[in-house]
Amino acid sequence: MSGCERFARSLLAHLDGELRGAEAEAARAHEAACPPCGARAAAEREFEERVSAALLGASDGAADVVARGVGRARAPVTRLPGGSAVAWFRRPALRRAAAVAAVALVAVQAAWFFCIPPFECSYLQAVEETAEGLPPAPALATPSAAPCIERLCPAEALGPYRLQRAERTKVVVYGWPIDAKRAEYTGPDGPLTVIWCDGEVGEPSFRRRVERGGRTWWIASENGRSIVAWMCPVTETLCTLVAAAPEERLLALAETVRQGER
Amino acid sequence: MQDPGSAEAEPPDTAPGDASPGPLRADEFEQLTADIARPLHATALRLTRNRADADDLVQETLFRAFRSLATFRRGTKFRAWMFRILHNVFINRIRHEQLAPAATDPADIDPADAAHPVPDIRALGELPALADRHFDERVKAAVDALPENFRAPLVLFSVGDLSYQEIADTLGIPIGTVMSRLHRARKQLRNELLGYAREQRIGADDDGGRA
Repeated sequence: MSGCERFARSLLAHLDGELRGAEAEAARAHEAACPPCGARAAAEREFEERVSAALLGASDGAADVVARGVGRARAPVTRLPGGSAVAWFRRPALRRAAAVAAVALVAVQAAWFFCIPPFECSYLQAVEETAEGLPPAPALATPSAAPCIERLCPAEALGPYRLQRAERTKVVVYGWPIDAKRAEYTGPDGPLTVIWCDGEVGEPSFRRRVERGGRTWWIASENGRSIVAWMCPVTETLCTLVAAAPEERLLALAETVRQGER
Repeated sequence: MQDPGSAEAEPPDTAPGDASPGPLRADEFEQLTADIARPLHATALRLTRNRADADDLVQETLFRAFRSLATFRRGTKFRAWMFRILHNVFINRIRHEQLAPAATDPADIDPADAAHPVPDIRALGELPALADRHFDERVKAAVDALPENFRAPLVLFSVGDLSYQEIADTLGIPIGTVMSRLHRARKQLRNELLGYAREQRIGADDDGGRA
C-alpha cells in the first residue's frame, strides 16, 4: 500500500484529530510532503468546516434560548420547560415534608389502634355508650317476668346483683350498628350491665389483655367503671360486662356469665 | 472541528479544577453554557429537526444540568457533560413519544466501511460561498434525512465538537460503532451533496446554453 493510499484511508481520522502517536505523526508528515494529498486534506477540512458552519448557522438566537433556559433553571420553578412536571420526590424539601407526614400518619394510626390518648377505643366507647344508654333501674326491684331475649336467658342473679331487665339493643362501633342483647343488674356497687354482641366485632382494642383460666380477657377502666370483655365460646361473638366494681370481682362475675352461656 | 495538533490539550471549556473546589457555581454554569450556546442549540435542532422542540430540549437540558451540578466533576469537560445530558433528555423524549430508534441496527457494523473511504469531496467542485443559503439548507436537509443512529454521531461531532470517545460515552455505544456510524453518515451526506452539485452544474449549463 502506497503512502498516499494509507493517508487516504486514515484521512478523516487524521482530520478529526483521532490519530495518536506515530500514526498521527506519519499523517502530518505525509500531508506536508505530498501536494496532492495536502490538497485533498485541505479540501476535506474546508468541507467539514463548511458543513459545521451550515449546521451552526441555523442556530441564530441560540444565546437567547440558552440565557432564558439558564434563567429558568436558576429560578425556583416547579415545572419544566415544555410543561412536564418536576417529580415532587426529586425536590428535597418536599421529600422531607412527605417523610415527616408519613411518620406522623403512622404514629397517629398506631395511637388510634392501640388506644393511646387522646384516642379512645372505639369498642370501649361503644360499650360505655350502650351501658350509659340504660334508664336508671329501680334499686333492687322485682326481676322482669320474662327476662329471656330470644334464646338467651340471663341469670336472674349474678352474685349479689339482681336482674332488672333484658332487652335488644345496638352497639355502634366505628359508626356501624351491631345487633346486641343487654341485661342490666343492680347490686351493692350500683348497676352492672352485660352486653352480648350478635355480630362479629373482632377482638376489642382494649389496652390490657390478661390470660386467666386458659382464656383471654380484655380489661379496661374508664370513668370509674371496669369493663371486661371476652369472646363467647359458642357464638364467637364478643360479650362485655360493665360495672363500677373492682376488677377482680368483675372477672369472677364474667366467668360466671361465660359459663352460663354454654 | 478540532485542531489535530491540540487534541491532547485541555479544551477551553473545561471547568476550572483545583482553583475552585466544590461543585460548579451558578455564575460559572452560566458562563460555560453561554460559551456553548450555539453548538448546543444547533445539535438540539438537528436532533429534533424542529425549532420549537429544539428550544424546549435545550431548556430542559439546562434545567436538568443545573439541578445536577453537584454531579459534575471539576476538571472534566463541561461541553461533553452537557451534550450527554442533552442526548439523554432527547432520548427520554422520543422514548416517551414511542419514537425511539432501534437499539441495534444491523447496518451499524459494516466491516467494509474501512475498505471504502468516503467519496473524495473535491468531486463537489468548488464549495459554495459561506452565505449560500441553498447549500446550507441542502446540508441541513441531508443531515435531517439521516437515520437517527447516524445523525446523532455526526451532529455531536460536527456541531458539538466532541471526540469519538466522548460521542461513544454520550450515546452509550462502543467507539467502534461511533466510527462506523460517523463514516456511513458522512458517506450518505456527501452522496446527497454530490447530487446537489450535479443539479447545480446542470442548471448552470442550461442557463449557459440558453444565453
